[in-house]
Amino acid sequence: MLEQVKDWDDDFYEKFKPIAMGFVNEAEKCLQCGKCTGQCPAAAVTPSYNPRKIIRDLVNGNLKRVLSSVELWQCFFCSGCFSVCPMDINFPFFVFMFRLAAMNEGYGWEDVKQLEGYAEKDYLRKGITVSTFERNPEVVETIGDISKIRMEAGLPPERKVSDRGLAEINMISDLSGMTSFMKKIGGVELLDCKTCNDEQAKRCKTKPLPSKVGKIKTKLRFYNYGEPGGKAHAEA
Amino acid sequence: MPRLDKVTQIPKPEQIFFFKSCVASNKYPGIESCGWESLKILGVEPVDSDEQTCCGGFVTFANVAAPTASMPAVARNLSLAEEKNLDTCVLCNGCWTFLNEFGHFMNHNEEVKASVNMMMNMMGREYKGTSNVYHIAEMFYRLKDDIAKNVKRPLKGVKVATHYGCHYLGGGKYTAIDDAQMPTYMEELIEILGGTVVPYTANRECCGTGFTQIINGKDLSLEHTQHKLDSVQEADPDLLIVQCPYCHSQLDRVQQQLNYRQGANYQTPVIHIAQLIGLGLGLPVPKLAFAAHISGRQRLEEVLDRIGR
Ligand code: SF4
Ligand code: SF4
Repeated sequence: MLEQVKDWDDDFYEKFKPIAMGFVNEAEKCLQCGKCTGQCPAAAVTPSYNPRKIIRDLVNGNLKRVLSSVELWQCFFCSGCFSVCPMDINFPFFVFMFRLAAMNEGYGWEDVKQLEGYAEKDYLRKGITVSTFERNPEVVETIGDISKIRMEAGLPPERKVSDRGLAEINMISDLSGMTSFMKKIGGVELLDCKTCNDEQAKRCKTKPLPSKVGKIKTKLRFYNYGEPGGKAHAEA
Repeated sequence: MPRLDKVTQIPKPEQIFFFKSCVASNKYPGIESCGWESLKILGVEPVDSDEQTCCGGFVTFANVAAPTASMPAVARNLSLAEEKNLDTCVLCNGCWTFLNEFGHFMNHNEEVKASVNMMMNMMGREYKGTSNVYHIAEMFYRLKDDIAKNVKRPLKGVKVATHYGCHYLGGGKYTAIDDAQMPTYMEELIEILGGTVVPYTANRECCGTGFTQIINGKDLSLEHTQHKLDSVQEADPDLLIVQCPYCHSQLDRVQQQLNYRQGANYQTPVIHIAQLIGLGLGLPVPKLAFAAHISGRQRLEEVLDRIGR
């Protein structure tokens, strides 16, 4: 990405603080010591990923660079950076808030869309985000029927959330705007290896960027912090 | 070294609200049954409610639910324990951080709490912020004397390695019962059960799930997990103990995927701390539900043969 002077916003940090509900406070205390990056698992596999630089760009107001970056979406949310930070900067919350801000600018929707299915099909419908469904046929072959294992362990064959519980989380979702958000990005298409046809299998490996997610136009993200890392890139 | 001042603050209640985990219920039911039964043996009666849902952490950090949607979800789950006047015991590091962190946030922001309660009142509930959230591993460490008294199936000669998981020690830098860089309480529990602790280099490293990376950035995720698994394999433990079902699923399932993709041969059984305690306390084998585990199934059987079924 080519940065332009107008992409910088000196007041961005101050403006962002209240929007981020207090989750990005105290970034100005950062010592730029790099401890966070040193132990970061995401940085270990993607050398261009660098929490220290992202914090610097936040404070300096270089927001375009942060928000349009691929790196922003590579955090593992492991909180390792927080655990070593001498200034107690809780960086995973920064990432969380940045991602919301980036979505606001049209970046990263394809990732979010992929995850929306868990909310729609499992969390809101069953109250449990991880379902018993196995996408990998080999797993099914190895363990067989999970409800049988549950029964042998003395549990009911299926964990069920009561109707009242389900109604309540759906109500929360409706009232807080989560449902309408999910409608906006449209349903999802999670591929299932068993029923996948050749055409889908090809997409699975190449994964082209959709230019639109639901009704939202998405923008291309860039490696703004250097060369992409990972084994694949080291070998290529 | 565990922070003993923190440990002594954990109560030894007669009853505790048992907060179930999605992955534990639907992928590794042994965690749920062992957690339940072990607490009972140790004199803490778990109390269930089928109104509890997922903690909401996943959909939140997947950016599908904004904090405005997840705060009330957290408040709702915690209010279930409050209605019963109980503290909450969770099985998962993710639930622990998420309920703690967002609960803390609401407790310290009156406005947020008030607006959350407006929604809660509409469904006839109230969030007060009185229920403390404890991880089951913390509870076990608190009850370690009772565990020592109740060991029925000593893990003699079993080599055990630990993996603590990020969201407990990392996210709970000041709230966890141990130091984030050099934790030892799980090792202590293993020794109480009679097992042998084996160290390995990548102990403090993340399991590699990376929350959503396993779905969105699979290559990064697998690469990191492989790094961890290589180190585990070098130490060659009989069991790898985790305290988070999500780490459990990653470390267990990715072994199979790597074996399939690269023709590697990773075969280390991964079990949850609740299952380890259940094993030591002599729970019957079906309750351990090792049948749901994918990697190192044969080795698990060998361990059972050695220490008695
Ligand atoms: S460890 Fe903390 S102070 Fe040091 S660079 Fe990272 S965020 Fe800044
Ligand atoms: S939370 Fe994100 S930035 Fe922090 S150490 Fe983990 S992967 Fe790195």
